Amino acid sequence: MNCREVADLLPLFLDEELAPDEMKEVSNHLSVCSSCRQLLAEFKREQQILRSLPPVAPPPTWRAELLKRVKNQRRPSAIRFFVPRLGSLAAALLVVLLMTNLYVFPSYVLNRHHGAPPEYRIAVSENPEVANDPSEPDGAQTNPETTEKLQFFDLNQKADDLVRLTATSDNSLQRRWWLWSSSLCLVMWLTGAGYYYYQYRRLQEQTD
Amino acid sequence: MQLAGLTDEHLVEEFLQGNLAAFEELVSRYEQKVFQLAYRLSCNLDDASDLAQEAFLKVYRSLGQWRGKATFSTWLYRIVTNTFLDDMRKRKRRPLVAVSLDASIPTEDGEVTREFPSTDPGPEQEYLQRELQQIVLTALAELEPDYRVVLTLRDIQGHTYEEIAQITQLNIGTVKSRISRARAALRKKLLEMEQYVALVRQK
Repeated sequence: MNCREVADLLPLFLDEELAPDEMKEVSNHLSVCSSCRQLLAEFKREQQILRSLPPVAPPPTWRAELLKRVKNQRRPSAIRFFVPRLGSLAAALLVVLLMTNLYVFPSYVLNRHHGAPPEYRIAVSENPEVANDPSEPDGAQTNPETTEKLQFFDLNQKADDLVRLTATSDNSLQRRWWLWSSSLCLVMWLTGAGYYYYQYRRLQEQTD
Repeated sequence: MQLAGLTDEHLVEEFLQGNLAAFEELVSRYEQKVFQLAYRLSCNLDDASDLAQEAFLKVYRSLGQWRGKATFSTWLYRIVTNTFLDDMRKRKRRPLVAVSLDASIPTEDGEVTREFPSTDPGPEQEYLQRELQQIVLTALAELEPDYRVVLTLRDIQGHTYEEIAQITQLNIGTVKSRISRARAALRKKLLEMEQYVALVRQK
């Protein structure tokens, strides 16, 4: 072992942290090499100076300050982290649900009275008296006074037919629009929630 | 309940059940060690106060997650050194203010310094020793933070290599090589300081 190698090992030799055979080799070398002994003495002196440093105590007000900070402080449990963020998460979720409803909602509402008996049926007539009589039956009739043929339409029935047509028709544009917008909202929501989770994990990792 | 007789682990249990006094007891057990570590790492009183408080606050916040993986003290010192290293990374552009040679060192009882065992402790020797200490501290403050952490843990705080490995979460081989390089780096710094060389020659 030459002086260079020994010099590299001296810092650990000082703490007796070398492998036993290395310890032996280094001390063998030291017994014959005064310059390496000198170097060891210098390392020892530096260590001795560090060891001789006087103990340090915190300033008198330090603990009171710490305890004051502790009392103003809450532990970051998952609940305490997520509850303040629940508002924004819920609001975003609401948007997703609204998007879903924009698809379901129109057909649901428009079909609501479908099948239920209407209370009034409106008849249309050029003769206001006949037209405004709710007891008048539907369909074509002959006005007994004028023998004029009148066609009565049940407008409610027509409206229902129209609605049924609308609701059951393959409205692919509407469907596609819903699909894209609601999945976009869902992705955005997941991103936001994921970011919060990431923040939470980082907060925890700081103390690991 | 007599808190003073409990182990750290029992105090943590007490604290988790809502007893704040248990936390205060932990603070009083470790504040001196933690503050000294913080002071030697950050080299000035204000930063040390902040660092030590920050570490205890983190402990307070996360005692529930500790679960006895390491001993309490190891975990506590790890939080101090990790917080210090994080701070250093954050303010890389704002280097530490090196310790002034005239700065007073706060100690538990006045400013007592232990004497060299080999020399007989006249007032002149004591003065010389104080000078040397200040110079070594200045050099220590200029070392890389990673080196400063291991040297402080080893020579100032007096931890074993095994303990240092647990605190820094490095394997023992890495600890050895880092301490070795840190000693060499400190020596290099000291040799660059004329004042040190002159004092050592004078001894």
